[in-house]
Amino acid sequence: MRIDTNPTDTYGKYKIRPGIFLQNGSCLVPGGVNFSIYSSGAKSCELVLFRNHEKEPFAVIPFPPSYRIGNVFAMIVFDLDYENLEYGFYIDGAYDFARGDVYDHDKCLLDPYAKLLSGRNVWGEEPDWSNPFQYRSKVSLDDFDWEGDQPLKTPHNELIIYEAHVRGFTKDESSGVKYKGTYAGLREKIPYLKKLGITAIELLPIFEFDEFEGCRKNEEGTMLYNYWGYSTVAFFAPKAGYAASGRYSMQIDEFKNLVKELHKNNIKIILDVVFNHTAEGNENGPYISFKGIDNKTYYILTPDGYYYNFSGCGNTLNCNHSIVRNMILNCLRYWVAEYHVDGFRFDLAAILGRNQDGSPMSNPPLLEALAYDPLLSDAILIAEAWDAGGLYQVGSFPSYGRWAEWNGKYRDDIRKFLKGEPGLAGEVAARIAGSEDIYNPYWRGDCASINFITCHDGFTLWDLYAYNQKHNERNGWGGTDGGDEDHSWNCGFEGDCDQENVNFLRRKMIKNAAAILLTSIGTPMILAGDEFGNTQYGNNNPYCQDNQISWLDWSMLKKNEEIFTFFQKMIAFRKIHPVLQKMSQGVPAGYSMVSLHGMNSWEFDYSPENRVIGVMFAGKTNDGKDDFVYIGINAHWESHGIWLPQLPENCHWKIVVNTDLGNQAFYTKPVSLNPEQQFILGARSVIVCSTNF
Amino acid sequence: MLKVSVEQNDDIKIIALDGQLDVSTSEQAKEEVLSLFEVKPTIIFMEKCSYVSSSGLRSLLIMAKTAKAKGIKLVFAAPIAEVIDVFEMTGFIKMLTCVPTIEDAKQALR
Repeated sequence: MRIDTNPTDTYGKYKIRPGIFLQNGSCLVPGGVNFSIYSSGAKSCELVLFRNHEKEPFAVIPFPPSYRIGNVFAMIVFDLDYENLEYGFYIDGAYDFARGDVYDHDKCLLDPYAKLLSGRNVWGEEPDWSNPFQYRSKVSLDDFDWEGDQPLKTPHNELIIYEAHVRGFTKDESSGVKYKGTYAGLREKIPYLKKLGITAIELLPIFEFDEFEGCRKNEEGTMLYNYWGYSTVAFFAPKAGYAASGRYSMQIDEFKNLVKELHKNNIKIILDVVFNHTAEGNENGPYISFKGIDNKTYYILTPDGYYYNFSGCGNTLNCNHSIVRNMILNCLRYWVAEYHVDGFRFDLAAILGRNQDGSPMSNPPLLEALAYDPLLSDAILIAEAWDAGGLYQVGSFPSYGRWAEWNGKYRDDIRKFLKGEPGLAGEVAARIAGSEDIYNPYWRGDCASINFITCHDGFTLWDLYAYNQKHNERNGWGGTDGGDEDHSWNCGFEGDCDQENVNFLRRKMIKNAAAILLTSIGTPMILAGDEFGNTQYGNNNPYCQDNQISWLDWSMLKKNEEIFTFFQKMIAFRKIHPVLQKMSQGVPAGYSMVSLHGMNSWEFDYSPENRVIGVMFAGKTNDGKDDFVYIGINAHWESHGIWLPQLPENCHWKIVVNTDLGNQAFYTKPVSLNPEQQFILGARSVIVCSTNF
Repeated sequence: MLKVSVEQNDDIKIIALDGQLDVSTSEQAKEEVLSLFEVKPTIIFMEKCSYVSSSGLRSLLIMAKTAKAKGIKLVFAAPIAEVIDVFEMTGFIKMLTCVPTIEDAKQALR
């Protein structure tokens, strides 16, 4: 029995005592709940307690002056029915907009460290807008039977990332799962992911957000939501609306179970995290949490108190203020330690390197802290190395040898080249060879480049070859939203088409992209559904479309089985060639790990009109045999003869892939090639050859 | 409110839970069930358990783990559909031996 588990005071009928100041947020303690909150400008603070979903609080308990040390308030309240409890804070302080203080005692504020939220328990269930306290903190149960699970320790070199949206992945009827659109539904699809062969799933934001933020109807009357969720309400809480059990507030258990099951199948989980801004918007936005707790600490403000908008979303989180930095660090540590998450992809990560006045820093303390944090030392850290304020840091992101980056240049160069644009042969060869011109391995390690051709932001792979233009009219902005630099090509017909020659070409272009992506050095990332030709009907920005535009149509899996099989086999191929993962133990004598070739072997043609390139990788198999992989790309609209590089006497080329061969593109049985003969590489085709298969 | 009662105690022991298993009842229910454990096949009869909360799930898991540690075969029988749903969604179903009826439970314990 500890003596500090006894109440020391009473307030009304509530027994209380000074709380644990070192704990942030709420946590269970023997006999009660500890509540703790920081605010530098608060004159006073009150704990506001509600029964589940009730509008009026059943208790408002002021923190007595003796329950404050420095700028932290802490109190234990005893005998609370914590499962039937929601809480917030009233904070009183100055209102002086130009100085950045906007305290408003009438606003009930969400705990910034809330680990469990109520208020949006079921996706799309219209909230009671008359309720002044919309996002409600709850006390969480952190214990979970992990059955020995840990974040996976497999090397980052083995990553093959699959980017998915929790809801869109299984919401459509065609998914065939029981718990559609949820963590549990995603768990039901693990056998599929295993069959495909990916080694990590990267989820679009799952930190609690409000799908109703900015909701509206388009001209057709379709409700548009904040579907992607790049607007965080609570950094420590998994989104309840993504949990089948959200109505029972069991999202923590459901999400942890998903992680445990993914790990049992050797699939890592990476979270797309949004620390660049919050859902509170600018001076016209709502008070949810940070604004009313410590506005000028949490946000980057102009000298006259307005919000800098480097995120394009109204405000900018003050990431390099020590309070905010600690919160971000605590948050990531929490997701690794408590949820066994394997890594993070940081949305608009360049903001994380901005100073408190908005200027870019050369040694941002936050990024350094993340890179060297002991709990995060195995975690995958991926930056989207730009922001909406014009800071573009692809290749120059302060990485401390730890950070990987979404390689936007890889996407653009491969797209343009495959489309047939001139002047890209050298660039594309560099992308396939690992983009060392951007990411010097000496500084950045072997895994800095996340290679992708498509991601959630932009066309799907099918649409990349089915549309010349974006078709975003249904997003309600007159078709003006979304990027204009898609480098797409519709293969001769805009949109859905029943001409077999067009569809053959589209499928071939998809296979070309897949073959390049999965033989390039660097970490490949696949957009969920691309492996079976999922379409968004030409919408390149369906951030608001909670419907068939965004939801994966699993019926396409059967229709486009050849595309799925191709992805599956290319993934399997990548895994058996350590050289493609920079994990080869040695290089065959007389060869370099990467060599570039043209129509003639060993002669790379950098001229602007050249559209035929070959890249050869030389390494060792896992059992120590010499191993060669060759990828030949003809992005020209005519066929060309090529010569494959000569090999040592004990090695012989076999052709594994020829995308010109329709549904036989991946050879069931690889065919030997005679290096004395020229190989005719078909128009707009890719071949992959190997000595070991 | 939640009532714990022994419905049968011969070669098989049947312990029934009647009511809601939530934060206000789960700790006591767990203690009562654990105190009733003997080293013999046991069924937790859940037909009248109308709700299981997060803390309720943990109590059931501790019952299952304690039984295992003591060498007691333990089966949870006849949970209502809503409770099974909670077990499935959260993955607890994999950690609890759970069957649709008392007869199935007896069968499983034979």
